[in-house]
Amino acid sequence: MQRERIVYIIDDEPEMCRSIELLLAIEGFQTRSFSSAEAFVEQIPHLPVGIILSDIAMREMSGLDLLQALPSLDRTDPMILITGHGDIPLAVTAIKSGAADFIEKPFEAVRLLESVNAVHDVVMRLSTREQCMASLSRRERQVLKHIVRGLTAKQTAIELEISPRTVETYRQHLMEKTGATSLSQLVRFGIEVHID
Amino acid sequence: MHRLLGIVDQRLDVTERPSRLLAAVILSGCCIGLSTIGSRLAGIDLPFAFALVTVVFGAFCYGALNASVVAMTTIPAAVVLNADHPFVTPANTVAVALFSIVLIVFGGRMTTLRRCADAEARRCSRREVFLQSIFSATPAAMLIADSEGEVVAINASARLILGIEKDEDSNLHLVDVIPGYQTKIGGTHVIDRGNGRRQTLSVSSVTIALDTSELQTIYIHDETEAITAADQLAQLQAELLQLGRATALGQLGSAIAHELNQPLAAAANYAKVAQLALQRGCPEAEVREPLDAALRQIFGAATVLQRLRDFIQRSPLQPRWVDARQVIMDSTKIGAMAVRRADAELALSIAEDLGEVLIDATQIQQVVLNLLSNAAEAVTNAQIRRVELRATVDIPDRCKITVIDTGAGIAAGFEDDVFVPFRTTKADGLGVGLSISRTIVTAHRGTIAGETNEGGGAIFWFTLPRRATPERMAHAA
Repeated sequence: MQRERIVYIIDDEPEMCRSIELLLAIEGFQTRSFSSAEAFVEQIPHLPVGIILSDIAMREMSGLDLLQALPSLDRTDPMILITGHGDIPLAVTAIKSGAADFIEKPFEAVRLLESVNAVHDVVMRLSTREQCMASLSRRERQVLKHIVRGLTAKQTAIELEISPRTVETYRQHLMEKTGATSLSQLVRFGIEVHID
Repeated sequence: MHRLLGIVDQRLDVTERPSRLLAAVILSGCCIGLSTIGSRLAGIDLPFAFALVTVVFGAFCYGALNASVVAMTTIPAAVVLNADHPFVTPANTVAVALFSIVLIVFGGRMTTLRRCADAEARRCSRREVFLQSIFSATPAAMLIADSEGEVVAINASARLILGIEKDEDSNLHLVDVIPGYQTKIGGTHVIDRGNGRRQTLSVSSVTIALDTSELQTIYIHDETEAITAADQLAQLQAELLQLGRATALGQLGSAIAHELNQPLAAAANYAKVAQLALQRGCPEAEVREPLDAALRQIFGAATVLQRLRDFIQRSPLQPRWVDARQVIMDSTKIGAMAVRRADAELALSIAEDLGEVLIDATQIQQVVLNLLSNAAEAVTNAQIRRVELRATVDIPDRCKITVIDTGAGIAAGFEDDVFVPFRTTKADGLGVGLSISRTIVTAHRGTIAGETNEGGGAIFWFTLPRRATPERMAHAA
């Protein structure tokens, strides 16, 4: 299933919202603008998951406040924060609080597009992996777990009390399902999805 | 004036002729001697003739007293010396004596009158000298003209001020002296002396009606230097105010940067959109829309810059009647930047019927900016960040502008010092903002004051002279 490319833009400057909307629209993103973090929080239960692009400095609730409030709203949407020029401590706080990226003002349009695209790719990869994981059987997961731990086919077979040939078959299935072309790629996939 | 003339005249009357009696004795002696010599040697036998001649001489030259003494000595002497003369009879003697008395009375009167006339002439000449000395030596420039406008007298100071050479005064007319003068000479005349030199003369005149004509005494005061000094002072003040505005803008630095960055960043985004749209061969409308938006943003930034430029220009105090609502609205534009920068809410409530105020717009903008940026600074770290500006009609001929904030109020013990120059509680403040504001408001014949609000925060207000919008404008609107 192709996920929708949605970006929520939160900025108290309407012209900034509008210009970023157009910029992302031309890149094929769906956008929706909010003039304040409060307005966004109010709507959030009805909104599908998307990338949040928010200014930090706003009148009441700041972008950082919103980022820290997301877990309590049961949301895991990746968030990109736009910070004032030269405010490094704030940027560090943003990243530590779990921001996917931060953009320093004044920013170039290209930088914004790169950031949004990169975050989108990560999201896409993550969701692909998640789908992939969901398609694995219980046995296949067990086998993958053992491969990631560095066990050979024979050792895995002993651990799982199945024949080494069967392990080979599961490994073949795993390679097919994850699209890995080598054992090391399969191991990497396993590590990325935190199989252990 | 009478006392002064009294002193001038008194000094004149001291000359009395001291030797009238001596003259009488000498006259009598001469008379007796001559008549004796005449009768004895030359045979001229006129017993009373010499006496009468001497009495006449004494009476007309020296006065009644002298003549009396002469008569009382010479007539008895003539009687005694010529006792045997047929002419000397008691009847003749009495007749001569009576005639002498008549001569004495008449001659004495004549002498007194003549003496009075002499004294009067001397008094006049002394007064003339006195007047002349005042006229020529006074530093006040004076000239006197007849009813035709012909200058009849001009003093040294007037020559100096008007630049008239000594020998020019033969045929001087008021028009030559004060170019541009028409019928009324009083008032201020600005005269172009060439080489860019302008002379400002304040002229007043007094007309003295004489029997058949009249004279005008004209006083001229050269105000050029005073005006130059006043101009220089005004210029210095304008420079000071300009410096104050530059300082105020300097303190707004980050707010201004934000005001400019915002539209420019949006413009850059729009331009990029247009560029991408072109690259991808999108329809023209999709390219034009972001380009138009970019242009609007760039012009928006240019407007901000223009406003700042206008604000920083030098402006000597030039109050004009302007629409109060409009000018106050414009005045808040720069101050609003500071309020926005403090992430505070700016509430404007400007009455509809403010009418017109007599102000110099730039300077009032300076006061409003000062109050708003102070308020913005006060609320920066406050829980509630709100700045309110109200403009109301206070009393019919006064408009009141009030700025209220939700900050910490005026520091305790500092209430009396807020308008004193170089007193500040701010770490990076110079302490001239409110002091300059007071100078400006006072120059506009208004008042400015500030206090800590009852509900917290500070409240500052100032007043400006106002009038209702004139009828003609009300109709137009």
